[in-house]
Amino acid sequence: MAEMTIGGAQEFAGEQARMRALALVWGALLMLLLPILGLLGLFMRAYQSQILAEAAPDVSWFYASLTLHGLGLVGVSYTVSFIGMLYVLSQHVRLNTRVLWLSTGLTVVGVVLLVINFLLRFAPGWYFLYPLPFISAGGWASVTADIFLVALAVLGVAWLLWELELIRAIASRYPLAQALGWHYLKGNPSPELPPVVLVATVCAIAGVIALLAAVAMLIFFLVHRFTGSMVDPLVVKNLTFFFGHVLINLAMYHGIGFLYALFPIYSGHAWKTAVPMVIAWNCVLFLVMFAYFHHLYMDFAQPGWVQVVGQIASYGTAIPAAVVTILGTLAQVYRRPVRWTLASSLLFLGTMGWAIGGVGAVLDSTIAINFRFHNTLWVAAHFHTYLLVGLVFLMLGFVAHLTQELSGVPERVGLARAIVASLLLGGYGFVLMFYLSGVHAVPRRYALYPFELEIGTTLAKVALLFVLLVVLGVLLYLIEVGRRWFAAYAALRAS
Amino acid sequence: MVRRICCIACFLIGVLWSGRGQVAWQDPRLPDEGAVLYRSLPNVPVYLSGGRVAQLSEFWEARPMLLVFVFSRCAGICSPLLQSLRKTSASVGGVGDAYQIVVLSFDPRDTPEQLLKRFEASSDMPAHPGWYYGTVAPKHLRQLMDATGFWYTPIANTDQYDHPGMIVAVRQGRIVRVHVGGSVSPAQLRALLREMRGDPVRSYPLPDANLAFRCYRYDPLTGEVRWDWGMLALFAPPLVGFPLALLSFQLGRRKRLHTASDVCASP
Repeated sequence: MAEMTIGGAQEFAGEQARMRALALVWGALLMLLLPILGLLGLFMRAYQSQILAEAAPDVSWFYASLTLHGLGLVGVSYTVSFIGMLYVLSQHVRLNTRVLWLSTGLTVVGVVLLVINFLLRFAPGWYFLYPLPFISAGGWASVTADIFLVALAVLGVAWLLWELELIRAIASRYPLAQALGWHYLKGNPSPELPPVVLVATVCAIAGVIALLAAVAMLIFFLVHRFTGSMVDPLVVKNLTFFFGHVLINLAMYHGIGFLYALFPIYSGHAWKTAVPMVIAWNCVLFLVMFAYFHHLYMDFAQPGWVQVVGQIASYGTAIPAAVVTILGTLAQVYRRPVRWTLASSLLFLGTMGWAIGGVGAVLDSTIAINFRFHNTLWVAAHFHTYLLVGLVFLMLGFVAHLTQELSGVPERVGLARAIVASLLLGGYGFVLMFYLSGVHAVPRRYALYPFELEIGTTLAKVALLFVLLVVLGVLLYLIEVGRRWFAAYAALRAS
Repeated sequence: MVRRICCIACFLIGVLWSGRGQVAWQDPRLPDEGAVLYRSLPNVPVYLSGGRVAQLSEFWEARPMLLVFVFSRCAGICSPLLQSLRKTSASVGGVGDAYQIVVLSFDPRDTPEQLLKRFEASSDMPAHPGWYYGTVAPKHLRQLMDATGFWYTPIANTDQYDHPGMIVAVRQGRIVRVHVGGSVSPAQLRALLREMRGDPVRSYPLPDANLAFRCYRYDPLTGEVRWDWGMLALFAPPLVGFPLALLSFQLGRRKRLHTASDVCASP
């Protein structure tokens, strides 16, 4: 491996320091946005449980909350996990942090626009399926659709910029074949490829493609907006899920990317690239673009073969990467003296949450099962599993690790255990109520349940208790990690 | 740089703002297929020419039927719609064998004979097999209108009614498609007939039939679904994204050769 020149080393060290600062800022954004957006979820479950009774606000607030809660948390998941992956990747490639800061600024602008829209009760749901944003039936002002399009454009530009920067940074160090680990397939494990580089390459290419799908989708929205003529809703729905499904999958993969790099710090066992891992991630790169078809099983206008491809691709993207990662994680802890801290516990549990939620997702992507479960709370159950007790745990684990690493503040073991226990019990209890609701055919997206579905109201009440446990866990997390964050910030400024 | 971004953002917002309110939508007075699809029709008595009375179920139990609402004094859409239906059904074939057409008057002053005289130039019986003209009692007409979404309103100071041109496709007593308009093309009629045969058309109700960039196009003649131009929009992201990634790595090759000494070593 080539050695660095002195100038190059100084410049590289400077970029790494800036990357640490950026990661710290995103850690703060996570600790700010996660509770706010999470409280919108609490509000929705409270609304469904009818405990608000007479004090219940207008139902439009439920749907506005549903929209911001979904859009916001998908956005937070994608961005924070992306920064987490870049943070560990910056050990291997040189990233231009100016581009990343610009994207961060644009992302904040996009988020502000979405919050403004929430206050104006923009509520087409987080799928914002065309042409619904334009047809409010008096539910929201027409200007909110315009604000939404601007927000979408700003976020699209921001994220496309940093995906392109990621590709540029990897390409500056690795040829494509090497970055995708193809030399391992030829039986030649040299040069050694860090797993995070493999994952980041797959994510960057798929990310650019997903964001180009968002551009195409946005163009169709603008055609409608300016010409007033309809475009085919099925085309736009395909593009929406092409973009949205790939984006949320990427968020998960980003989490796996930093897991590969960070967990070995606690297990003391290096996580190396191997042939099964290369095969799995190369499969993901190809198949992730077709898996979104499972969102359109109910669209009978799609030809049958498209639906079959959707099911095969869903299995193809979920199983190889998940199996490689889950077996890898278990191998990391099996009969090894793992240093269990807040960060390592959350990283481990997050991976297991991804696995459990993934099973729910694979079940839901099976056409025969989807016909029963499609519009029930089973859907909300599986994605809350791999997002809340999966990706959110991974991101909280990353920020806990980051602040610990940068501050050097020792962890309060008792508090860390209380955090993990509250989040674990609260998180799984909460999603269990969604699963049970799904089994009882309780529909999703209902603010209130009719008499025939009273079980939905009861389960929402039980879910509230578990949500309160999650709230407690997050509060304790903010106390523990917030303290470290300020210490890390001070240390970074001093350096 | 920041100023430039702000200027572009302001421009975009201005352009968006100036275009507000241009969004067109389906005329809300036209019957909405989505609102009535799969509803059951009421089994009401129909008064036919020659004093014959038949239950509506007698028609749909015999074979699928198309139901059309007209009135004999209509100076507007009724005649063109029926002429179009007659011409199209003759070219597509099957009327009388595979399906039948029941034309009902919604004007309480009409008799079956008047309808025949007006639309078939005969006061005795329909000139075309498979066609039936009849009237229904006002209370039954109301039930049919509720089920199908058809409506009419008198036009002041005339003997005319304002009403949509509408063909309701019925299979085993249920509405399976609704066609709205002053004429029906062979492709549209074939799609109705296919649905009436119980062969679901992989199509979907759209307010405007002339959409650009459809994903798929349905051919009612063969029943096939073919890719359309909208598919380009789905293929475009990978077709642009993959070459873009390849190009980036190709450009990175030059940088790798020149700055190999400046990259960090793997830990």
